[in-house]
Amino acid sequence: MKKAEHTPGIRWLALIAALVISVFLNLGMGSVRLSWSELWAGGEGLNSAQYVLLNYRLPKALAAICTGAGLSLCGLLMQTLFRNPLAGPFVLGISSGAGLGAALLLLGSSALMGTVGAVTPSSGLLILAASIGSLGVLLLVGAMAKYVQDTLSLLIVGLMLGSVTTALVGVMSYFSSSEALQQYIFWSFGSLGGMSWPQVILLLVFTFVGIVLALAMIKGLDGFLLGEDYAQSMGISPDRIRLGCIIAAGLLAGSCTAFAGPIAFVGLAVPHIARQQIKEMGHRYQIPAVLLYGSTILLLCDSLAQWPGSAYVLPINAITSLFGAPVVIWIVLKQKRLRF
Amino acid sequence: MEKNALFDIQNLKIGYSVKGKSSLSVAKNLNHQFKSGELLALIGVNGIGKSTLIKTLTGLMPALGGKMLLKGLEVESYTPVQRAQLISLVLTRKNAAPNLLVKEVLALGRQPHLNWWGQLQGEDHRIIQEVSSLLSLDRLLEKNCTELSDGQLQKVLLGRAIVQDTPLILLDEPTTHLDLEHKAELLGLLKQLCREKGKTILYSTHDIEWALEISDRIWLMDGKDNPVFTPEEGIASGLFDRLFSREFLQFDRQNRRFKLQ
Repeated sequence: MKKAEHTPGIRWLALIAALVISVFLNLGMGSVRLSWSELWAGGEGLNSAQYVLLNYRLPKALAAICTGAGLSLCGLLMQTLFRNPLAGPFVLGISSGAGLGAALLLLGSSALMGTVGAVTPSSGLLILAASIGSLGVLLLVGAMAKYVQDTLSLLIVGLMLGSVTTALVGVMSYFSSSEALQQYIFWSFGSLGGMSWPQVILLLVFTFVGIVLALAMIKGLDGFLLGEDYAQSMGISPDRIRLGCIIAAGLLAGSCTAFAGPIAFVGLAVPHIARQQIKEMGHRYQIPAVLLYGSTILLLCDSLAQWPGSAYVLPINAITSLFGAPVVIWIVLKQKRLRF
Repeated sequence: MEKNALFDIQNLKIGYSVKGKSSLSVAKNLNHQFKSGELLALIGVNGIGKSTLIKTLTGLMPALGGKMLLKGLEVESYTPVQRAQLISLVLTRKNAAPNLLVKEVLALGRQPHLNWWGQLQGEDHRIIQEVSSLLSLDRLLEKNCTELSDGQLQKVLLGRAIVQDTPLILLDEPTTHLDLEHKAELLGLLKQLCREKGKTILYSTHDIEWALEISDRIWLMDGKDNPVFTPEEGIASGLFDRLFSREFLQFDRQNRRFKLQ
């Protein structure tokens, strides 16, 4: 490497600073312009600017942080577990499970009962359905993990489950009304906004538990980087790490997808960005790195989706891929190949 | 005489078991008492079970029968971590190099000695430093393993096993993929570890001539009684004359070499 080596401390400080700046940028973006004077104004109750900040922008920023951090960490865990650079939150079929749950609620009722039965469910109900969907697939994958001996078979099982759930959604789409289909498509665009405080707090809790679980496995995950045989020869139980990864990934990807809809690209790409930027590959470095990069990147993507002054909000799922994929292509071209 | 051998293998049967129902035996009648400071070469044709034996001895695969006594106690009575403090492993390199810095790979060797968080202490750093200078890896420490040559990578993986600080080190075909110079260097290191640090080392190999030259004993997996002998005993008894059944390959006792007829 020819470029000047920064001291590691400065790089981490810069990462944290970037996150803080992104939070402020994200809070400032939206369909209404917030002025400082209004935000600082005292007085009885909340004025409109304070109300927008507290009940709309802040939950959305927190949701972006959780989703970005959670999906990225999930991607890192899957890439380490499967020793495959193409692994991401979607490989175990957990996200498609959430999609199936949402589809059952939005499309199922319409498919079964025709247009008369079409309902407009509340966001809470939608989250519940998506959670049940991802939990169902998670339990299925977990149960099968007990029977398959090696990690590669687990990958295939996960991908097949994903295909089945996607196919089920396809069948339901075919038979459902256009109104219901439109609702489902809107869900699949992904959205970080519109979450209530209790929902955001629930998402925070799930993300936090997932992070703690990943940190508790830090030694075993490092061992896995040398391969399962080496890990086992150093006293690590591969079965335990495999199960831990499934549970953590299920909590992280399941809750993120349930609350914010499917968000592509982040989970797959952020670990590669972190690996390219941080020299140390051990998980005590890479886990904090993906959390910081992931949340910063999703905050920035969400800010882009909320282009100021415009009343339109672009679908976050499209933005992440639209702006993220070129970044990854650029890294690949610069690096010649993705290290794994 | 030590009362308990470091590692005592009695009538071991190895192979694959399928969920306890059926089992596929690969080799049986495996007997050997590992002595401290012994350099033991494991030879035998492809598919005879050398890797399976190494994996079974390390605990990666369950034994199908027989006994393995570590310091006089059955291996099953050790926890995986306790076992990892006594036996370390270097595997055949089949897949790509790990995406880790050299210093991180070495540090991984300390895992069985650390708590769940795996923070290195002063003593751990001292051991890593010592191994790094023993194997002259100092200039490579900050490099990623994907940037190393085959010879360098094999040394790093051996380094990780030495850092694990176990009396026993098992290596599966460590010299495959290496050129002559690196082969000699690696085998010299193994010899040095046995002589100076009192390590007991078992390595599987196809380089029989090298094994005759440097190892204390040779364990021949022949599919029958799997004898263990010193190079001199092996040559005198004519074992090597009969090793290969093809007549164009002959063993020259004088020069300890195989010759093409």
